[in-house]
This record gives sequence, C-alpha cells and structure tokens, in this order.
Amino acid sequence: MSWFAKLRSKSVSNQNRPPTGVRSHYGKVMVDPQTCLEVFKNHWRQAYTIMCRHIPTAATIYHRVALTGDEVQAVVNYVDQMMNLLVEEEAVNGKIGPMLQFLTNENIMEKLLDWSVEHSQFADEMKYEQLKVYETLLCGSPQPVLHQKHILNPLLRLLGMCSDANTAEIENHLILLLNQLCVSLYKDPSLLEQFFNAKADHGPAKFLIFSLLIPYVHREGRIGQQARDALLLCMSLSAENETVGMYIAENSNFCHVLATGLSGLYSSLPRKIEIRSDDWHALRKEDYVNAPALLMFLNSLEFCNAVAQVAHPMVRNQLLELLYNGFLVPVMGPALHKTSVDEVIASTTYFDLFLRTITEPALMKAFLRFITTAKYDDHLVMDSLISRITSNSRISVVTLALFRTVVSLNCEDVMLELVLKYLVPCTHVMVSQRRSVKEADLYGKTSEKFLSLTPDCCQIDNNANQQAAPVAMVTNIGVKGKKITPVTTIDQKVAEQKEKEKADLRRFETSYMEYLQDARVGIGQSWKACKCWSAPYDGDNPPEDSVKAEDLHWGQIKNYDRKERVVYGTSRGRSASFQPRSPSEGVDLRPRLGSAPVKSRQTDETQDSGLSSGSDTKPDNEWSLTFNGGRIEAHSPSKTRRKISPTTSSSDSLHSIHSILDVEVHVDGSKTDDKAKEKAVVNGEIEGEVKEEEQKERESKSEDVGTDKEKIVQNGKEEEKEEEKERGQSLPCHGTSGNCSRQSGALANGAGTLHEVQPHGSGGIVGESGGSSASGDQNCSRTHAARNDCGENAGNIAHVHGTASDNGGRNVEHAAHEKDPHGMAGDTSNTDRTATNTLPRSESFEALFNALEGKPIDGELELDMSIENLLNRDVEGKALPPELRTKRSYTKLDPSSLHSNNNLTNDRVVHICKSCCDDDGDNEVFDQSDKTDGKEEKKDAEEEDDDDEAVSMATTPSLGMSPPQTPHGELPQSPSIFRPLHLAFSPIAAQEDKNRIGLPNTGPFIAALFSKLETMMSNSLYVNLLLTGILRQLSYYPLPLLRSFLLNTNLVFQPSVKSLVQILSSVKNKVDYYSETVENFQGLVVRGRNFLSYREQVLYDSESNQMILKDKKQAVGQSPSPQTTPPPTQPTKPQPPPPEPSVGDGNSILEGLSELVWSMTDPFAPPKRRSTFSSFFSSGRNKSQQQGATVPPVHYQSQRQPRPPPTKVPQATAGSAQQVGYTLQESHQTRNAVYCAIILTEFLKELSAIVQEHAVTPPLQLEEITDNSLKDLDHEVFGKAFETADEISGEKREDRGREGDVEVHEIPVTTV
Amino acid sequence: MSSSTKPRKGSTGGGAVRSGVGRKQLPPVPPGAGAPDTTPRALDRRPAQEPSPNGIPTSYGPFFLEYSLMAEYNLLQRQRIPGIYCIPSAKSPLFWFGVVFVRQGLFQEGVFKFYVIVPDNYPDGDSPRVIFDPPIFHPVVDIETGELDVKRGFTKWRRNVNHIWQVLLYVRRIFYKIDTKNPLNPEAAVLYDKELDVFRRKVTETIRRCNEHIYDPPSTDDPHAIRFSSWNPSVHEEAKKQVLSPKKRSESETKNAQTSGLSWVKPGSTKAFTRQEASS
Repeated sequence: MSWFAKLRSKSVSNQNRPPTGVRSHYGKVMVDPQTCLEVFKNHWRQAYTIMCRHIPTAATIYHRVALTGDEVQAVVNYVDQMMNLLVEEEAVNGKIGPMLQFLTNENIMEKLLDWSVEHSQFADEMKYEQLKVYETLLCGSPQPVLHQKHILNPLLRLLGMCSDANTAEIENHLILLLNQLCVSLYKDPSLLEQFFNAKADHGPAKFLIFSLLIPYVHREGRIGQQARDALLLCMSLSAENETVGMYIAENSNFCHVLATGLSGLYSSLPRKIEIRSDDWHALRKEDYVNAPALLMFLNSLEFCNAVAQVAHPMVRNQLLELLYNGFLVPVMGPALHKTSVDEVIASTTYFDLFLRTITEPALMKAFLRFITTAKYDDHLVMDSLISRITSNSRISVVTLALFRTVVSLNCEDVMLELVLKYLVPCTHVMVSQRRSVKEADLYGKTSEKFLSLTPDCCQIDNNANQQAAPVAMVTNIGVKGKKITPVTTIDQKVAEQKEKEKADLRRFETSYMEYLQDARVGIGQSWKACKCWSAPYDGDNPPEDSVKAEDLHWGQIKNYDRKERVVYGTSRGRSASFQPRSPSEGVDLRPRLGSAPVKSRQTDETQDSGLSSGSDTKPDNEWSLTFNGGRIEAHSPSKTRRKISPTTSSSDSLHSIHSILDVEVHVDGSKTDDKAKEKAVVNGEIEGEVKEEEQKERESKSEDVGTDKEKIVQNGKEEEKEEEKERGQSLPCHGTSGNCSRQSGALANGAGTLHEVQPHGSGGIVGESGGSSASGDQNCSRTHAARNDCGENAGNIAHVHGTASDNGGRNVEHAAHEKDPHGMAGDTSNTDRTATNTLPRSESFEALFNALEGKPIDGELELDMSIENLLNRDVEGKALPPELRTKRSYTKLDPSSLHSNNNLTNDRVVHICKSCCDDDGDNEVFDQSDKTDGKEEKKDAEEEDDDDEAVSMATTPSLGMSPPQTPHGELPQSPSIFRPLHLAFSPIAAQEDKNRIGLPNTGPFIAALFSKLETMMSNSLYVNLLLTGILRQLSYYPLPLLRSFLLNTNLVFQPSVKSLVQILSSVKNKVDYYSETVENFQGLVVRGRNFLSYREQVLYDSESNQMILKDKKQAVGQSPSPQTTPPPTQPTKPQPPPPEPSVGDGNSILEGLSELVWSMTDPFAPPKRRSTFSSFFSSGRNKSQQQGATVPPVHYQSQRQPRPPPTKVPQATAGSAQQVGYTLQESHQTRNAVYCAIILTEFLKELSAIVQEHAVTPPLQLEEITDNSLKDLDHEVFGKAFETADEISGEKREDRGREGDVEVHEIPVTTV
Repeated sequence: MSSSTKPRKGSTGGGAVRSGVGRKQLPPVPPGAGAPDTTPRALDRRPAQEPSPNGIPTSYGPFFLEYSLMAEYNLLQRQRIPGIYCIPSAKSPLFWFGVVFVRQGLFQEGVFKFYVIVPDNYPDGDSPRVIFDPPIFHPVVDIETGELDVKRGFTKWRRNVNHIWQVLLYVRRIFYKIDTKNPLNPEAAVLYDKELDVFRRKVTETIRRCNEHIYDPPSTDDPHAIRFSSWNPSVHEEAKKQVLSPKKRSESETKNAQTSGLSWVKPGSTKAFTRQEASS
C-alpha cells in the first residue's frame, strides 16, 4: 500500500507550503529585523492593552466592562500580524530570533490562553483563533517553535481544552493542527520528549495529540483522512520509539478503537448484495464506489493495514490480536455462517474483497489464520467454506472466487492446510511410485496426455483433409442432419459442412504460445513467492512422517470428506480401472481390481445380485464390470445378508433393483469393449448403483439395531424424505418416460439415491450420462425414467414425522460415522445421505439385500452390538447439538432454491457428523467397537470369502477414528493394494485391510474442487472459469508434491485418489458422448467461440478505453459478461443469437460497462494482459497464422506476437451455422455443454502449457540457504535465461592462470 | 531465454517431425546427418510433416521439441560440469555452442570449441553429435570433420535415461581418459599406445593451434556463438569483480502480501501459523 509513502510526500509538501500571502506581503517590505521586532512588540503592546482592559484587577473588579466582539477581533488581528512577522524570522547562528525570543519572554501565548479562558463567552471563537495562530506558527515558522516551552505548554493546554465536544470549525482546525504537530514530531522525534514531559500537568493522557486523534479514526471525509494520516505518523514514530509504542499499546485505546470500529463498520454493510448479472462473483471497484458503507469499511481496513505496516511491533501485535479476536472471530465468523444464503454470499464476497485489499503480511496473516484455523461452532471456518464449493447455487461461485483469491496468495500456511498436508505423507501415491514425485516431465509426455483429452468437437486437425474425419462428427451430422438433403449428397454435404466448421473452429484457435507465456509468468511468480516458504514440498522435505494424523483432522474433516468425496471417492477407483493407463491395465482389469480388495466386496454383491435375479447379464462382462464397481467399499454385507429370509416382502422392488443393476452391468460390459470411450457414462451409472448398494447396506445396518431405534431412525429420515421429494420433482426429465414399468417404485428408489448423490458432484455424472443416453441408449434412458419416478416415489413414501426425528438423524449419522474411519470416508458420507433419504424403504431394500447375499455371516452379531452401542449412546447420552437444529432451519428457509437446499442438507449432515465426532463420548463408543472388531477379525480370518472382509472393514472404522492411528499406519500395508486377485479374497488380505486406517485422500479441498470439476458439463460457464482458474493457480505452484499430484499423469495413485487427468478425461468422454446426441454440436461450439471471442473483444475495448481497471493495477479482466450489447460483428446472424444471451439470463443485458469485466483479480498476471483463460476468447489467432510459413518455435520466436486486432467475427460462421439449421432447443444443458467443451479445450491447453513450463523451471530454491548458494540463486533467477555468460566469465577467472591470455568475450545473452 | 527476431526455418520444420506425441516408432535419422555441416543451417532440411498420431495438432510439435531441449539445458545448467560451457544457438534450439577447458592431463590448457547438434527428432533419435571446431587431434575425434565419436558412449540413445549433459560430461572425459579402441583417428590411437611422446607433441600442437585461433570470430553470425577476446581491464574488470563478489540480496522494502508469498510455518513443522514472528 502506498498510503504511507503518499502520506509522507503529502506531509512534506504540507510542511514546505510557504505561507505565501504572508511572505509576499512582508517579505519585501520588512527587510530590517530590527524594524520587524519593533512592529512586533508594538502589536503586542496594543493587543495586550486591550486584553488588560478586562482583566479583573482590584481597580476594575467592580465596574468591569464586558468584553466585546470588536475587542476580541482587534486582539486577533494584532496577534495575526505578529504571527505573520514571526514566521518570517529565521534563526540566527543557531539562536532563536529576537521576535520569538520576545514571544517567549513575554509568555505571550500563555497570556493569550489565560485571557481566552477568562472570557468564556468567546471560548469557541478564541479557541478557534488560537488554533489558527498555532497553525500559522507551526506551518510557517522556520524556527523550532515547539522547542519553546512557552509555546508548547499553552499549546498543550489549548489542546487539552479541545478534547471535549467541539464545533465543526474547531474540529477542522484542531485536526489540521494535530496533523501538523505529528508531522513536526515525525520530522523531529526529539520533540517527543517534550510532549511526554509536558504531560504531568495536563491530564491523564500522556500523549495528548494521540488521544485527541483517536476519536476521529473512523470519521468520514477530509477530517477523518487527516486524522488517520496524523495517526499513521504517530505509528511510524512508535516504530522507532519504544516509549511511544508502549504508550500506544498499553495506555491508549487506539487498537481497541480500530478493531471495534471495524466491527461496527462491518455491521453497517449491506446484508445482501444485489447480483445483477450471471457472471457476478466478486466485488469490484465499480461495485462499491457507490457504496459508502463499504468504502468506509475499506478505508478503515486500509488504515489498519497501514498501521500494521508502520507501527511498533507491540502496537501491531496488539492490533492484530484485537482484529482477530474482536473482529474476525466474533463478527466475520458468524457472518460467514449466517442462516440466510444471501447474507452468506455477501459475507463471502466481502471477505474476498478484504483479502484482495490487504497488502500487509501481518494483517493478511490474521485474516488467513482466521479462515484457516478459526472455528465457528466447533468446526473450522475453512471446512464450512470448502463445503460450499460443491453447492449449485451462487454461494458456490462466490466461494470459488474467494478460494481463488486465497490460493493465489502463495501462502504456505493456507496451502498446507488446504492441500499440502494431505500430500506430504505421500500416501496418495502408490508406494512404488513415491520416488517419482520429484521427477520432471522432460519430454512433454503429460502435456500430450492433456492435449489428447480435447473433446472431439473441439479438435482442430491441421491435417484434417488427409485424415479420416472423426467418426462422431460424421455420424452426428450424417444421421441427424437435415433430412431435406438427398441421401446421395449427404455425405458430400456433410463433408463440406464439416470442413467449414473445422475451418470456423480453426479461426478461433487460440495461441498455445500465449498459454506458455502465461504459464511462465504464473509459475515464475509462484516460484518467487514460494522462496520464502519453509520447505520445498518435494516429497523429502518436509519428511513424509512430519504430518501427524491429528493434523489431518481425521475426525472432523473426514466427515467432510465423506460428504464431499463420496461421489468421487467412490467413482475414483472404478474409473481408474476403466482407464487404460497402460495397455496391460486396460486389457486386463483383474490385477487392478484385485488390488482393491476393500471394494471388491461390493462387486461381489453386485455380481450376486445379478446372478440371483437370473438376469440376462453376460457373466464375463459383468464380472469385470462388477469388479470395477466393486472398488467401492461395501461396508457391511454381512448385515444385509443376515436378513435374507425374513424379508422377502418387496420382491417388486427387488426385481427392479436387479434390473437396474443389470442395466448397469450391461452398459459397462459393452462400453469396456469400446475402450474407455464411454467411461464416463458407465462410471456415472455404476456410481449410482454403488451408492445405492451402500445405502442399502446402511439401511440394513441401521435396521439391525433394535427395533425401537430403528423407528427413530426412520423418523429421522422422514424429513429428508420430503426434501428429496422436492428435489425429485425438480429434476429435469431427460429420459423418456416410456420406460416406466411396474418396477418404477423400486427404480424410483434407486433414482432417489442417484439423485442424492448428485449434489456431491459425481451426481453430475449420473445426470449427464443420463442426458447423453437420450440418444437412444436404452439403459441410460431407463435410469432416467427411474429418476423421473423419483419424485413420485418419494411422495408415496411419505411417512409420519417422528418427534424424535432429530435423534434419529443423528443415529444414522453415527452409524455411518462408525464406518467411516475405515477410510472410505467419501463413501460413507455419501452413504449417509443416501441412506437417510431412502431409509423409509429400508425394509424392501433389506429384503433385496438378503436375497442378494445369500451367505450368513458369523461376525454380524458383534457388529450389531457395536452399532447398537453407538446408537444407544446417541439417543441416551447426548442432546442434539445446537448447530444441528440451526442447520435444519437453514435448509427449511430456502425451499425455493432446491439446489442450495441440497447443499445445505449436506452441510447439515456434515455438521451432524462433526458434532458427533467432536464429542468425547464418541471415543468410548469407538473403543467399544474396537473390541468387537477384534473379535470379528478373528472370525473373519476363518472365513474364506471376501464378505468377511467386508464385515471387518465395516467395523474397523473405529480404528481410524482413534487418534493414535495415523494415516501412516497404512503405509506398510499399501502394497497390499497390488495384491493379485486371488489374494484379495483371502483371509490374509482381509486382515491386512482391516488394519488400514482411512484410505489415502487428498483432503476436502481437492475433493470439493474435483467433484465440482466432474460436473463440469453441467456447470455454468462462469463456474467453470472460476474452477479452472483455481486449478490453474494450484498448478502454478512449483512444489513437486502438488505438481506431481495435479500434473503428472504417469504417477499411479492409490485407488482412492482420483487424479485430475482422470476427471478431465471423464469430462471429455461426457462431452464427446453428449455432443453426439446434439444436432450440430460443433456448429454450436463455433457459435460459442464466436460469442466468447466477441466478449473478449468487448472487454479489450473497454479495457483500453475505460479506466475500469485503472485503479486496480493488478486486475485482469477475466471475461466480460455475456450481457452485453448484441455483437455488432454478427450482423449476418441475427436470428440465432449466441447461445448464452439467448437463454434466460439475457434479461440483465446492458448493465453497463462495469458488467463487462470480471474483476477476477489476478495479482500475478501482468497488467494489460489477458489472464490466461480469456485469451482464448480472442479470435484471430488462427491456425494459419501459426502454420503459414513457419510454425513458431517457442523460444526462438519468443516475442509475444502482438495481439491481433480483434477481428471481425467471421461471417462464414454464421452462415454455416444457419445452413445446418438450429432445430435444436438451446437448453441450459446444451449451452453449458457447449461452453464446457470450449473451456475444457482451453483448460487442457493451459494445463499442457503449465506442464511444459514446469519442466523447464528450476527447482524451487528456498531463501534460507547458505551463503554459498547465493550465487546459485542468482543464476536461477527464474526464467531459463541462458546465463552462461556469468559462468563463462567465472570460468575465465579460474582458468586464466592456465590459459594466460585466453579471455572469453562477453557473450551477448538476451534474457526474456 | 534467448530470442531472435526472425524464426528460423530450421527450428520450425524440425519440430514438426516429432508430432508432439512421443511415439517410439518415430525412427529417423536426421537428413543432414551425412556431411558434418557445422553450421546451424544443417538443420534446415527436414522431412515432411507427419500426421499426428493422437489428433494433437502437429503445430504443437515445435513446442514439445523445444521444451524438451529447454529442459535438457536446464538439467545441464544444474550439473555444472567443470570446464564446460554451453549455450544454445539463438536461432535453433537444436544447435548448441560449447567450449571445454581442459585443466589437467595430456590435454591440459586446451581450450576447444565445439558444437552440439541435436537430432530433430529428439529425444527419440540418435544421440546428439559433437563436432570440434577446429578439429582436434584425439583418438576418438575425426581429424577431418572434427566429429567426436559420441556413439561410443551412447550406443543407443534412450529418452529419459540419456541426457545431453551426459554427452557434455563425456566430452570432458575424453581428455582425461583416453580410449583408443576403434578409433576415429587411428594415428592418434596408435601414437598414444605406442609412442606417447609423439602423441604428446601432436597434442601440444593441436592445443597450440586451437589457442591461436581462439580469438577468431565465429564462423556464424549467431549472436550466441561463443567469442573470445583478450583481457581488457576496462571491459572485464568490473564484470570480474561482480562475479567474485556475491550479490547482496536486496531486502525487499515492503512486502506486499498480495504478491510476495507468505509463510508462517516454522521450518521443520507442518503446522500452519507456527512460526513466531521476529519482532523487528
């Protein structure tokens, strides 16, 4: 912040400001000092005469005449004259001038003050005049007037008299005078002593100036500004003067005033922010220039920032402490957890703005410490924030924006908490691969991998002419194209059309070069910033064992995990197996499957179900498939099994479930043949299936508990049931309803679970796969039908609300919780939710399961016992935690926004879980279950099938919960993951697995981001921009651990850890699949590009013409909002407007230029440059440019090509698009998919560029290294500058002795 | 990084060969492999573009190639091989200028300039070639062309295993550990084995010749070409001083929390906000 610098210069200029009027008047006339002195004395004599007139002497005491205004004015005039003379006087030979001497000798100032005190009727006026006198004196006199006791003392007295209420005029001058005093002090700190010494006879406050200023800290306008400036001067004084520092910290209420003032100002901020456009996500300057409350707050915040910068450490620490404990925790904390979504949105954006405003590290520390480690209602603020990422409402957008800010700060502590501490143990990487963490990708392998994930519809092939067109495109257009075209010419036309579209697409091709340069800048900035970190996070430092289990919040975050990771945690394993990482893996899934014994149980069940139902699945496919699915953990098959016989009641639902399973199996089988093409779809469905199963287990489990408990539990579920119903109804129906069969009931149930999954993120997959299936995939559409039914079904299931519903809910949570520690944190959480929703139907499910299982198990009894214990504890021992209730109400508050509702429900679940975990009682419970585990383990060992394993797994969680167990405990066991299949089912394997404590995971933040990313195709453009922006920022970090996790596609992760590339490839598949179902998808892509490039252009123009970004020097417009004037460049294409504005949100068009700019401040991007993502919006950098005569080599033509002037939007685009015809309904879904395709394409390019830049970035060098490395560091100043010149001259020195006259000439080296 | 205003065809075309997807099947020997043309222009001739195997536009090829080489160069810099200095040409990433100072042994006091020519299908092609200019008298260096027998050290070039810095290490080693098997210069080999004195004389001769030409302007106009000039205190003294005195780290005046990077983690700890702020 330049405040202080600014201030200094200002004060200096203030100081130098010549009292021009005076000087010009007297400067020439009064040349003779003697004459001046005479005049001076004369003036005083006259003034004094007037003053004496009214001094109550013995003579006058009885006939005293009242002082008149004229007399006062006369005195004032005389004194003014005197002062004007005085300021002209200069010290001679280090001695004060005669006039000043006279002034002090006569004690004139004191006399004046006494006189004014006498005549209280003119008190204000005289105060005012005297202040002005001192002002003139201080400001104008070249002599050290303040060193004169006879001036200083009356001054202090005068100031003391001003400490009470004053008129505005007096205030003005008082503050001005105080400001001048501070400037004088600042310039001459020796004066300080005077001020402190003078204290004794002037009231309690020692440092009068200071205490006078404090009340004006939060004042608006000029006075406030001057006061703050003055205070800042005091602060910087304090930095050098211990006494002042001590005084401010200990004897003044300055810091309190600041902190509480901030709280007060915050409370006056608007509770709700009016969101005017769809892409709004953060507060920008334009948003708050007209919001005085916010401006006030920012002013004060900036002041705090400045104080923290310049004040004495004691003051600073006190201020920060008070800010933390007096503002952040008690004000910001609750504000971020308000029950109204609007308020939370407002608070989040405020907080984001604050973070972007602060520049002082110490102050930033307080804020970051707050979101990182502070708790609200017993859970971390950060956790609440993370949990909101996966929301589907606006809250997710603003939260993403906040995290984007946070991540871009390059703060080690925050990154440690968010991501790194989960990576440090390195448990996410297969043991054999841990050494590779550090490896750089020299040959761009990973880049290639990323680039290869470009969706088909966005692939621009230079050699398209020679190569066979992608099948998808041909079939797409050929089959679904206009029917008018004669059959014979279809092919030709299609080909032409396609060519045209390719050409159109090519026109919008973005420059890879720019991505490289952006990556370079981004990585470079991060590289520099991370030099001050404590460790390089390269897998060795900090050592793997430096993160303790407790640090990972196994208890708390796990719950979170459960919630967030459910989705992808479960799907991860599967997709991993689907993904042919290496040929061998792709071909033979078995080893991999076997390697995840934990999950195989589930598989088994699935298989069983398929077989028992006598379905028509093909055994082979099914087998492999189910195993894939089996990666998901099935916790307690044993339980469900037990119930086989009693509950065969709902054969109907059973049947239907089977059919679902069959369908999925079927799909899987066929798809696997297709290689990984339909991965996504399959995954989605399987996921649903798995969820379902888990949920069923869950239910059955909870049922096992005593019947009374069961009731409660069910009741508890009812509430959620209702929510579910709502959701179900709100579901978009993609599938045809024709599939509704008698099984609909059961299907609906399944659908319900599927749907439940959705909010978590992977649910998106399900939805999307469903959407894509519309093309005719029966299986998929079936699922859809199921989903449609969901709503109905939910309605049917309506049960009576139990009074004890809360307890019930808790119980269930608890049950789930118990399982969780096992490590499948994600799974369980998901299951929790699903379970809760479907519990009412648990009976039928149970029956189902029993039927499916067929194998009784011995260990179940104990298990049941433990669960029962758990539940009992809950019911009996604990009252419902308060937050649980609040959360509930929270959810109920917003019936309107179903999506957010979902999320909130999630929150609640999490909170519930947390509250459970936090309770001490839980430990006992877990201990108990521990014991039971032990027993079970023994039994399990005797059994031979994997089911046993499942049982043990289900119960072992308690191990994980107990603090002493560390995640490292599993390190030694991790090899077991590679176990061959046969071993996977052996008792030994089972036992090994029992010891596992929590599957490795990468923390809730990554989980949330990834799950959001998985739903990329259904996210809005802006969410995706933010999301990819965060991931980009994360990818910039030059930390091998993080880099390898995000960007190394060759590393093999543990099955429970999903990698970025996996998710992206699943998104690609989804996009590919979906694009086939949409007519002329590619045409839409062209239009999307067209529109985006137009947006960029507008942004560009506005950037250059407007000052929008001026004050934010770092602001880089991300992308303009879509609500802009219709593109003038699209005259030929009026009817079908670009997808974005054409739908819904176009209402807010033309909100003004401010709307054009996304103020995603990217502090690291150089000004004037588009932050990476938007660069693709610019058209014009087309292939031909790159291709032409020379393909640009990276650094051999490294000057950034001048940005081509925004080109006219190609008209051919419009034409061609129209030719194809827009029969398509531009639904939200399609639009999102189109943008998703584009963004994915660009994101992949970006990642690829980042990977390449990482490969040429030298390893991070921390600052605290030995002196020897100093030179090294210099060499490795970021940038691969070829700095051989230095070296050579160094060499020259070494070799000169030998080589004698051989000298190396300076080599011209250009560095970029 | 170096920059040149005008892109060279050499580098661009060359990159296109590797289609950006590192398929091992990519075979070829660079076309210019025959005659050891020691100028970067040798790289001009390139095979026609091959279609991209993965659907990745071939235009990425140059990027991948160049980044691979930049990464290689980075590795090389980190190796700090004593006595060897190397810098890529300003015009082509495939052409590097180098000089080796021999500090002991028979070739002591030798200052030999050389070029490294990287095959344009790097890293899937042959090993890089090293050519001494002027040619030197050495058993494994062709006395006519100056080409070093690199294959001797790298029979098969394997990506990820072999790196260019290893080649340079090998360049250095030939002067300390002389191998006379299958020599490119049989005369030198025989002399070394049989008549060491004569060999010595010949070596001295070659060193002298090299040193005589050390100040010759480079044969290429490439701005990165290594030039030698005699010691000129007015020019070099200052630079030398700078080199010898470690740079003082400029204490960043005021840290800006937005950009300067933040850490309050106590070294050795993995807990956030554990470091005690030094009250300054």
